[in-house]
Amino acid sequence: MNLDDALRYLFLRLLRADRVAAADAGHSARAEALADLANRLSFTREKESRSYRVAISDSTAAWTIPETDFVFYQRGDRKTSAEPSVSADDAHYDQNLTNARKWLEVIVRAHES
Amino acid sequence: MFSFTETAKIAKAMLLKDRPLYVQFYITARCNLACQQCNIIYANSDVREATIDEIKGIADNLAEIGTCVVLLTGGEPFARADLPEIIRAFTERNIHVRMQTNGLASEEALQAAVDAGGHDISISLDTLVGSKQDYLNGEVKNSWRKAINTMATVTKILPKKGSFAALGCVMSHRNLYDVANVLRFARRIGWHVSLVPAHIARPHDPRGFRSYDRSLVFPPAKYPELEREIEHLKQMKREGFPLYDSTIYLDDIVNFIEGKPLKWRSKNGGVCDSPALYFAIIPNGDISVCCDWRLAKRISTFSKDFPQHYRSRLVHQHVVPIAQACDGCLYGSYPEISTTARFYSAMFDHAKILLAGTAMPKPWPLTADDMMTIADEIVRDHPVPEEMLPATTP
Repeated sequence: MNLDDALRYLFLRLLRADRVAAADAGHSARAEALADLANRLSFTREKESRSYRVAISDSTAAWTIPETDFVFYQRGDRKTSAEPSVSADDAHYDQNLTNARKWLEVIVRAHES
Repeated sequence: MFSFTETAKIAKAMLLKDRPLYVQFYITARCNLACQQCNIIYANSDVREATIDEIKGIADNLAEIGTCVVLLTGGEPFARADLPEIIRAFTERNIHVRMQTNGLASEEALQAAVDAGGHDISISLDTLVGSKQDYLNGEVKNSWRKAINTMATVTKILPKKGSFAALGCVMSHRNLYDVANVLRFARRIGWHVSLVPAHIARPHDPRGFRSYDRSLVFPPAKYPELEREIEHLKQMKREGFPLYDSTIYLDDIVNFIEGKPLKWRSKNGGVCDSPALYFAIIPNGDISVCCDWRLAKRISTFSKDFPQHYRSRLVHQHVVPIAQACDGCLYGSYPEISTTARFYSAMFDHAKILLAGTAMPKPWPLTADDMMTIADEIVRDHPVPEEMLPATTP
């Protein structure tokens, strides 16, 4: 399990929702821009600095996102993944969404500018 | 495989289409493999896992709305230490349990699952070439060999009567010619095969289960080979090889890969049958349309209100618009249930398979060495052409 892949899916899912909403509202240029962004985003986990690096290809734009902003229920690599970190509440789900939204706003703004 | 009571329940669900014949429960996102074609371990890792008490609530609710079969999948379901309790939660409520595993479970864990009433198991196997399977599994060395060991264990501990063992085979252009060998292997060891084409998404249109690995996309230049190989598999099925999939489904594999309209949804206005005949549950207990699509609004299947929300079709109001907007999948069970419920030919196909399945010889128990010998013989007699594998292949 690569946590950067987990973050990637979370971001792409939200971007897709925004793209569909834009298309439904007749904002086709914005929808296309969001699709372009989704196809150019890259995600890398930087274990030493306990962060994720999110970058846009063919651009110098990049962000360092602290690991602590997100909780994924898949700890460690495949050898240790049988040791779960399971919380009894749903707070992390909402936290992930809120933080993903916060970072996406920054990324989308940079992509549009 | 199914008891008389279960068969009657399934027939009723098929006929009325008002209760879930089949529910896929993704009990965990954790997995000890990282298979190329699978994204679900990432997609579902943002939600916690339902507790055993919550799962008992889910089982209560699924039983109340008439669920026939629950598939326990993941991630790797055996990564949950409480899997036997989970199985028992459903079997005690007369819901048939199918377990889907990557084949890395220990004998103790398998025995506990069988003792809890799990007599229906599917193990992933895409090729008889060990190094290729290890590569497809995310370059996990010896994972193929371990899966073979697990299959041998299953033939030792699963009761011969009333049980069902299948190999879940994901097909891409990388193992196109390996599938026939997996089918030959299945017949020799008394198992069935269920085939699913690899599903690939683009980043701007992500889906829960689908990989982004574009190298898995079937090259159009190989479409004629694909069509020939599917015809070959259909011929093998006619000859009695235990391929579980209906002819409509096999034809739709070609349609799906080549981007043509899918036949299996054609009798329901181009839409699947979620949530009327099937739906999925993600690890935290929320209902989802399927493994690809979540709902915009969270609806918990362990909530006391769930049966009422299902029966009053409130759940349907959230699910159907998403299903209607989907361009379709070929994830094995969903299409097969729809075709069986809506096409007489598929219904007969599956009835025939199930009847033949009960009569199929099960030369159990087999040792891992027996299985390795069988696999070696098949690969020797039916060599697979070198497939497109990157240079990193072990």
